[in-house]
Amino acid sequence: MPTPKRDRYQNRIELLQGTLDLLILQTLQWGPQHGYAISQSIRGRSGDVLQVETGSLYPALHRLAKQGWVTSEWKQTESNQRAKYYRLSAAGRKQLLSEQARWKEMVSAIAGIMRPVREEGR
Amino acid sequence: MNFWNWLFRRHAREKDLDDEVQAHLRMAAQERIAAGESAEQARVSAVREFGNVDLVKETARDIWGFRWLEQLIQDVRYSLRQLGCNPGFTVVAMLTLALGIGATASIFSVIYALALRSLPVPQPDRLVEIGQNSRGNLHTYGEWKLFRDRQDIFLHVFSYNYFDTNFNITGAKERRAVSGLYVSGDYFQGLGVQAVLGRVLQASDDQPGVPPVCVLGYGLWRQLYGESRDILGRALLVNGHEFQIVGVAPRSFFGVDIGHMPEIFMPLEAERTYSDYPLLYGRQTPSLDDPHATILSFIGRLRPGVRVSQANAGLQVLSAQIYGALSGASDANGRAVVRGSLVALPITSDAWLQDMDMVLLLMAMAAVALIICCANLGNLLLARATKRQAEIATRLALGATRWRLIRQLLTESITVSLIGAAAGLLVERWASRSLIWALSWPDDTLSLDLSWDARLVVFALGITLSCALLFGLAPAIRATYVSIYSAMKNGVAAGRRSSRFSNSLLVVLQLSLSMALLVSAGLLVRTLHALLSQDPGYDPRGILVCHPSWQGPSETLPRAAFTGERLLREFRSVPGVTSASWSRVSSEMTGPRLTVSGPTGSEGQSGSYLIFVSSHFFRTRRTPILAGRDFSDGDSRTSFPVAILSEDLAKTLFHGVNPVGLSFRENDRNGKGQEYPVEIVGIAGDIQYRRPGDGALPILYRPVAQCADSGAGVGVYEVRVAGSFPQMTKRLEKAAENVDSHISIRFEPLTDTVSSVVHRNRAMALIATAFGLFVSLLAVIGVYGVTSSATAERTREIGIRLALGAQPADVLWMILGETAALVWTGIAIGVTASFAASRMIRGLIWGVAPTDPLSFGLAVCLMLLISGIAAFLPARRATKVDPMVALRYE
Repeated sequence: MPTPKRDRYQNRIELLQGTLDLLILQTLQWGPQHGYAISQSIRGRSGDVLQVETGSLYPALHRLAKQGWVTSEWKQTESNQRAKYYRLSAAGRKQLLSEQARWKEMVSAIAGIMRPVREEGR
Repeated sequence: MNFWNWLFRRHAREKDLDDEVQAHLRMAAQERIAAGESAEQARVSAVREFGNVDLVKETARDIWGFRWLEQLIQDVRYSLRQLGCNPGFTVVAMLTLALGIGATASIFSVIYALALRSLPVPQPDRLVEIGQNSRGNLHTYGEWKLFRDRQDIFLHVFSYNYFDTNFNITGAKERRAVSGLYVSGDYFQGLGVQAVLGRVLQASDDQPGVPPVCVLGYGLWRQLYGESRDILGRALLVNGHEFQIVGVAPRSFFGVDIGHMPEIFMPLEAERTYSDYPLLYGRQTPSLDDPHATILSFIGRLRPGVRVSQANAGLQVLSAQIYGALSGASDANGRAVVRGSLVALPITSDAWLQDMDMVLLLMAMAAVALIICCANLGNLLLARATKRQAEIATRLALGATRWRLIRQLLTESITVSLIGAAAGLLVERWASRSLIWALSWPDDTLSLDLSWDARLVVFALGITLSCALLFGLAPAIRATYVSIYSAMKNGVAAGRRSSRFSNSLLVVLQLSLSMALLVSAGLLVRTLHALLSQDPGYDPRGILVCHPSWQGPSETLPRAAFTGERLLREFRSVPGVTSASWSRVSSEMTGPRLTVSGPTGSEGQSGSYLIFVSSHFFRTRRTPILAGRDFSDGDSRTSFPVAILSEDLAKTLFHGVNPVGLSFRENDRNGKGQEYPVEIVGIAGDIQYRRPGDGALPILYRPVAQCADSGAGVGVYEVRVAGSFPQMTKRLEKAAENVDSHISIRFEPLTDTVSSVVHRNRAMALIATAFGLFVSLLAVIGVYGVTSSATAERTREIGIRLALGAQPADVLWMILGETAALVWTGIAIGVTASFAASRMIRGLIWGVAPTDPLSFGLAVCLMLLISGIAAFLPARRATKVDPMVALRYE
């Protein structure tokens, strides 16, 4: 009998290279967030399908900060804890728009590739 | 991201990252507590979910750049700790590398200074040396004047006296011998060199009749005057004559002759002022006024845009004019004026070409030493890699990549190399000094600019890093090639067998190369011995050679040649002197060609060297008179001209017939062209005037009293004494003072002269022996290492053998036998390599066969003996193994 944990593992999808940045930027679009909240938010909004490895999340956050797309500051959380909040910068907003455009392009491209395959299979 | 910013904010960011991770963990834990987990369990789960905290941090740190530098610093610090933990390894590695790198760098720096460094003057590539296609690179003074005045090919031309380079300088306190140059007025302008103090020589200084001036070299300025700036206008006594100091040359300036460091520069014309020296004192070289004395070197600076070939075309036209104008001049000796053409050649140093065989041998030795050093270190590192397998496996298991580990191990090698190279710098300074000593002749010291510049630094760093790669890469790769599982389990490595194999290969390489070096050293030592035991045709022991020189003002210079006779008489009357003689070597560049009518009427001809000697010359030297008689005091200026032939000359001319009583005709060297007969009164045994290995020279001896010509050189006195040298020099000095207080004498035991002739052979033998012993020592360390690691690895097996009743002697022989196979292989390859090596140094060995059995035998025995000892020690330790301990082990 498979355990629920194992189920979830199998349902998880490995993030495509480069999509994590897009997801983070997308999440930050609604306001500043700290790392833990970002990972929870991505997991929740994807219905537990996308789980962000902390091993990728923090390097990605620092990578974005170095690019100047997000800024960071230490603030109190609602539960009165100190946490580092990341905020989307103006440059980050621009980057998000271009990444979204690229993502749409890619989705339609992949969809275009997938359709003929299905037709052939029939 | 700025580097400094990174460096200073590194710690702040580190803390920030840490806080961030902690905050994440706390929030994750809180959420779990809210969901009902216990505090402890929540914390543990949060951490587990987070994953490898350090890895996350490390990856995040990577983002901020300079990660490589951080890792490098980490690696270097780790390496230094590792080195500190293994002081034995560190010291051996450092010393080995210091010697290897130091020796290689020193040889390179000498070759670099000799052949590759450019002259320290502006645009050295525009300078050409002007030679003569039929005669060589030197010219007469007459040719110089014509060339200087008529040429318009070059921007500047200048010349300097190639021969007259040794001077005695009398400063405020002391007298010293320095090397210097007589240069033409345009010398400094032509080279484009400015004075650092005062002015350089000018064309107006190089005129007949002007008061003599001089420019000091920087070194002499510092030594004599301590760089004092108020020396301009002061007088300096050079060979007893006053020269006014007008300037100081720059520190790096040495003229155009690499290997020579002139310390005083004087105008050519100043030399002519003193050309009326009496024969006995001072002058050793032909004067400027001799129309046949080719003593000047010409240098030209090309006009901008003019190529050497264009200059040569112009020179061809000019040469015809110059030699045409000269052929009209009277030629006293009836010699034909040299025809030919001047040719310009780019200035290159060919000094190193003359010493090519030596330099090559030195380079080969240094390379071999370096390779053996690297092999040895490679061996040590392989052994260490085996020991560190558990550590490396642990680090691999903890997530380090192989590349990261290799990089770290290489950093260790490079760190050791750099430390070794730093120590090698000290060795380099010392070794290049001894190299220069080895390459110099005792009377002609090589002085080279050995200061460091970019190219030398690049070379030194290059060999340091290649050493590190050479000895470090293979062990590093091998070390990381471990099975984590088996290594962690019991520390027994899978790769060990092959590691022992490469160990053995390296030891064989070391043994064979050191064999080749030892054999070469043996051959060189045997050569030296053969040279020294060669009978030179005289007995140098107990003979003091006296070189008198005149130190007074020119006005009181005694002009009479009879001073020479008086000096000889005074010397003979000194108590303790058994015999004394006086001789002068003719300054004729080519010896007289003797023509004799043979006994059968045919004519025999031979070139010969002319030496004027007093009576007792042969008696003092203990050279036998083979036929006829010695010169006597009766052979005077007025008596019939007589001569003694050397055995070699007599054989060449008379083919075994006794020539005593026959005569030949000699040309009067006073320029009147008269011929007169000279009677041969005796034959003397051959005297070795050159290196002991060279053949005898054909020499014509004439009585010094009958030497009337102006070309004769300085006199030399040879005194055979019974007392101790220091005591006798004092007495002889006093005797010279009786003749004239201005005479000063330099004394030299004749044995010194003889030994200075074999100086290079001695130097090479010494260096080769030192190298040979050094690399043999390394090879022995290699043998020791490979034997002890082989026995250590088989402790268990040996224990079982002993427990099953094997005798310790059996075990000993078993281990020794395995090492012996290695040693014999090394020696066999070494013998082959030695044959190749001895062929390479053929030019340096004399009087001993290149396959000299003694040299080969000794080298083999030495190798066997020391590697036997090196193998015996660990083998014996192995037999002391307690079976119980050995079996419990592992």
